[in-house]
Amino acid sequence: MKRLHLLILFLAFALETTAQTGKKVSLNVRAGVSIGAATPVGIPVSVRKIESYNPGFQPTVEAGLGYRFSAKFGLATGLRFEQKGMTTDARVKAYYTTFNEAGSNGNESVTGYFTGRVKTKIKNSYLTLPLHLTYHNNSSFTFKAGGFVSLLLDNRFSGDAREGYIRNQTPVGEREDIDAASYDFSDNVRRVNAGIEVGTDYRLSSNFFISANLNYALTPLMEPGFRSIDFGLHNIYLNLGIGYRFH
Amino acid sequence: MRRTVLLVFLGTLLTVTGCIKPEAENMEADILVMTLPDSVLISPPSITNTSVTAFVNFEKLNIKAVTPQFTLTEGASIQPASGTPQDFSKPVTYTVTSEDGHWKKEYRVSLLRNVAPDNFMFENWVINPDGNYYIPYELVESEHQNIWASGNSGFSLIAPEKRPEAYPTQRTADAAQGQYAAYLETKSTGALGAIVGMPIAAGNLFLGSFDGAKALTAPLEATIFGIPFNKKPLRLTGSYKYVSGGPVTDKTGKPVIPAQQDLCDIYAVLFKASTEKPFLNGSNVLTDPSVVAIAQLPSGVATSGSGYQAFDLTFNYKSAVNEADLSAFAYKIAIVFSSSKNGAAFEGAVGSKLYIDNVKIVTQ
Repeated sequence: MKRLHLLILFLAFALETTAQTGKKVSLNVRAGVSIGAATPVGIPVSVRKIESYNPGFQPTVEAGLGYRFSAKFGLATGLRFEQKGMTTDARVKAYYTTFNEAGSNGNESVTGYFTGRVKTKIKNSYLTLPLHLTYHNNSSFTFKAGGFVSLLLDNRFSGDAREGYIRNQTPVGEREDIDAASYDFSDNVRRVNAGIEVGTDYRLSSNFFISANLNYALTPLMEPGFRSIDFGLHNIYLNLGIGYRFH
Repeated sequence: MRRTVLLVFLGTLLTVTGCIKPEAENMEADILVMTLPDSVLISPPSITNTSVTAFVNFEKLNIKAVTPQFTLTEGASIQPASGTPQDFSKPVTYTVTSEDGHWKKEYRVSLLRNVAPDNFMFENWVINPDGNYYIPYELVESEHQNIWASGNSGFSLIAPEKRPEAYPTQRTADAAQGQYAAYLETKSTGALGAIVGMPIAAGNLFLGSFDGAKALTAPLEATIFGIPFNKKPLRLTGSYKYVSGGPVTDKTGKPVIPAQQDLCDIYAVLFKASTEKPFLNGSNVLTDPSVVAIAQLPSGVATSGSGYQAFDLTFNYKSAVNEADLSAFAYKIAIVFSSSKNGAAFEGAVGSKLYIDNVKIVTQ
């Protein structure tokens, strides 16, 4: 996080320099799709096999602003509406989890070690502010590196566990077979997601360009204190898009 | 270009997430099977999460040196070791340790003599450590027999609270005779029970065992009925009182149509066990061809007043009893009490209360 702060400071400094020298400003709009996952850093040992993975359709639209403060360098920011999500189906062994259901007496839950199959559906919508340092050479490519801060607008984090059994509380607790049990962790997704991003644009014509961005969230997906999944999840997504630059 | 970007992305994703790790050592520590010489066993052992109970023929073994063999969760170990002789004149505590060494579970292993009791006063109760609920036991010639079972262990997983008094099956000091009686109350299973189509749990108590693992997926098969019995039963007698919780609701929690008041059920079944079908369960206990005789309360309506009433139910025989098989423990008996007659189908009324005391099987 410290590094991110430094980067932002540096970019802010650069921004001011540009404003003073009055270099060229460009505007662009971009649309794209994201492919990726909310994933633990290192697949935990309780996950035995990924049976299926579906990136789904995760659209992005962005309005961008670019400043060139020197021949080779510039910076870029914008406002982006994006969706990050996926559906996975995994085979797990002794996977520590909680099934919960809102009831009249509040949230009721069963916690324990589940062995069987777990399906996870994630679809989070964010309003994102990216900030990039850009590098321009004489080729058609522009390279970008920086960070992003996202605000959660709408979210879904749900799924089910099936074809297995749970051991109540501990691995030696009472065994209960499970045909299908659903869970919903939507309320436990963090409002703010921030991380690093690198990417490149490739100019197709004087107006059109295609872009690829890889972003990795340094902040965990779930709130601190969330214990229903015993490993941290981080967003990692590749965004591919097409844009139009105004002159 | 896109291909390069994709490759870089996939490379990064793999670096970050890594590959599927080698399988960890097992954390579970279960006794899966207990084996004794066939001639010694009267009936297959029943195994719960923390106990193993088997009826054995005391004439055919030396109870002070019995050598059971155990099959465990893969990689787990057991103390005392499988295959070492133990004195089973009292239950023996075995400790199973998981393959990874981090988890231990104690089992109480009982070998019960072939003397089934025929009167049940519900004076002796013990708290099951797994779920914090009451279960009665019998004392036969000072031997502690865990022959009663209930659905409490199924309830424990989804129970909103885990006090002994919160469970459907418990004891009460409101007894017809002695200090305690059995007390069964139909309870709501809360939000979790509702989503699995089991909005209520009837209080139940029966001779046999409960397979808690099947409670949610095959509840009728979870109630395993019957203990070995070597006398010909004529009548089932006892004391009971019943307070109906009112209109019956169905699996979805809605009142059944036409409206019905909740009823209780009391019955006993004598059946001829076989190697293929050593026990009956909730799906066939009254209908299986192996059933020889049934004694059942004709009407489970609420009892009048606040006191206990006597019941005296005659066993109606469908087929003759073979005396030689009877004395060889080929027959089994099940006694079943339920605070909601259709509780097995999750139909009943929350708040139905059945008190049971002083039960006897009158034999020939």
